[in-house]
Amino acid sequence: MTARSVAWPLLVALLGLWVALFLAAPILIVFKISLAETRLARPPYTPLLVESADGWSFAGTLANYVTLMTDAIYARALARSVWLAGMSTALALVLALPMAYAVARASSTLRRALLAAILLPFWTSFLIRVYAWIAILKDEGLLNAALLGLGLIGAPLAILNTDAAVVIGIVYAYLPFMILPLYVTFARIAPSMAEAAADLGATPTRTFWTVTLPMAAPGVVAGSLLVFIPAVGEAVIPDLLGGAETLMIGKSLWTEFFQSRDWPLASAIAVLLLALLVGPTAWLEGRDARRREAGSA
Amino acid sequence: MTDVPTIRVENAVKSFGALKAVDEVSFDVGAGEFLALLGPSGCGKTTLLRSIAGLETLDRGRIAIEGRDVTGEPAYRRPVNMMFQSYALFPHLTVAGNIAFGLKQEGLPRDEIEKRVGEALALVRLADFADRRPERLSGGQQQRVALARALVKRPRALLLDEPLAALDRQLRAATRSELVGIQRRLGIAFVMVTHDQEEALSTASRIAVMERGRIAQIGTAADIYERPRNRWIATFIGEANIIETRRTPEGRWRAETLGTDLVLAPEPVGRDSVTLALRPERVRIGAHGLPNSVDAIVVETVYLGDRLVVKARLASGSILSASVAGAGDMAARFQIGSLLAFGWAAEGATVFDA
Repeated sequence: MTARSVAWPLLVALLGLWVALFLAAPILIVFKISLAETRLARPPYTPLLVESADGWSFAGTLANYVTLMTDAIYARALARSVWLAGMSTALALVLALPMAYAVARASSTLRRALLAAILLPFWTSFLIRVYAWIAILKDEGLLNAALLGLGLIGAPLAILNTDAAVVIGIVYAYLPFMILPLYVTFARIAPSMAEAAADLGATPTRTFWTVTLPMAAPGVVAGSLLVFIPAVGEAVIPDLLGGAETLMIGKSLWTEFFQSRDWPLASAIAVLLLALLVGPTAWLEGRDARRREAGSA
Repeated sequence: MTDVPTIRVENAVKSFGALKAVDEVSFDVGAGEFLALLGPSGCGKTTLLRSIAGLETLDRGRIAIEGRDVTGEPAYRRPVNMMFQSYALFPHLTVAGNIAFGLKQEGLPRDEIEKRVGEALALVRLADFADRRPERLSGGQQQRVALARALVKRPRALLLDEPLAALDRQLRAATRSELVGIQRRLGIAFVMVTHDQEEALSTASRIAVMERGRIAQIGTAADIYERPRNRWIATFIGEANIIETRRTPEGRWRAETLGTDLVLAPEPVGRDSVTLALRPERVRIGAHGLPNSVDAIVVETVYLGDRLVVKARLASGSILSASVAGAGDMAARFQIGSLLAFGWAAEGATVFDA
């Protein structure tokens, strides 16, 4: 207790400094840029405060946000991103549930091996792993070769450069983030819960749907957010695996920033995306807390 | 009692690796009977209970419920219900939801479920708590939810795994008599696992004492306390002075540790040595005219409120315990260091085979 009371302010200060430097400051800078106008200079945007004969004046504009609201292409890109991210999250959840359950119920030796296997891909660069999917998904790729070889299809499937390829890529890349929180919640559920359900007459299937899965709800929420949030803003996967028509908001941001060199518009997209993602997340968290409170009523 | 036992266990064997948790166990539980499986931790009593519930699969042997062989049936098809030591209440369901869970599995109509949940809540006096979550209940209330959840299924037998272990001492005594009351009222068989001999003696109509995977003795509380079958049972249930005796060439029973010959009843036939268990409360202090008597020096007195335990050292150095029932502080009558006569009737000591 004494050790903690000495170190405590230091720890809080460290955390505060980290958040201020690497979270709050960058967001503020991006927000500031989003209020500027683009120009051909270094940096490629206008300053917010302009010095003139009358002194300093505010030169910010909401023009970038107006562009985002009025130009339908951004709304479409956002809708597409949410749709593809949602699909990917749902697919990842369906795949991760049995895997996480199996890991949680495995013997301790097997469990360690399975967890290591889930984390193993992180030892290779994300970019390389996404590139590898090109080799798998392209017309003359491994997947088509296998399907043709098995006689399941007559002609190669066009998967690469479609939305399907983007979903496959996202599910592949983010699956561990779904499995791990699910595994943790499954592991925390006492075996006596399933036993009690069985004793009360529930078949193993009923037990899973009525006891195990509802009790794992916090893990489902956490895993879904961990997949959905980065997936909405994902730029690399749609760029490499998606087609020309795969319009995702993260890719739009990327294009505005690096190709159009319109930093203010790119920043406005980033700010909007952040607001759209933080809002529902905060609401979900708040609902969770309220539910816990409601138990006392 | 009907002819068909509610539960019949025949030659049950269950091993975990090299450990034989349950080793050739057979017994019956009659209709409306309250049987306690009593034993120290690791004796296999919980494994046996879980095998009846269907939560463990026997390696060998047979379990029948009301004459129907359920050995190969999964837990969810067996007409018995279990109350778990941890209660295992579902945290995501309310009290009413927990109790209704088992009825929903039977596919009963909604109003029937509601009616029976209401009855079960009334039985355990929790009607006002129907909409609460289990985590917001006290330990005693959680215990009653667990009881109601198991009983609402109207099982042929209720299996209870250390039902009172998680309660504090005061609540335990009240809950114990409540449990017995409910069992009498419903008239269904209860099988209770416990390591607490007082709990077993005070609730069960029959007790199966288990030791290392086997049933060492099965009988009424009085059978086991008054007529323990071996020295382990005698010392596990209550306290006992264990006395080894040997037959002398003259045909008397010599107890070396007491330094005297003893009169035994009934007289053992055809054996050269026997062991006796002598309950402390069978020993009279300062009484004369008893067939067995030894002199010993008081070394310790332990006042327990309702009785006083007197420990005395014999000439041989071994210790004899006597317990004196009755009100008042009697320690003054048994001064430490005083030499007193300790005696008992021939029938007061139980004679074992070995």
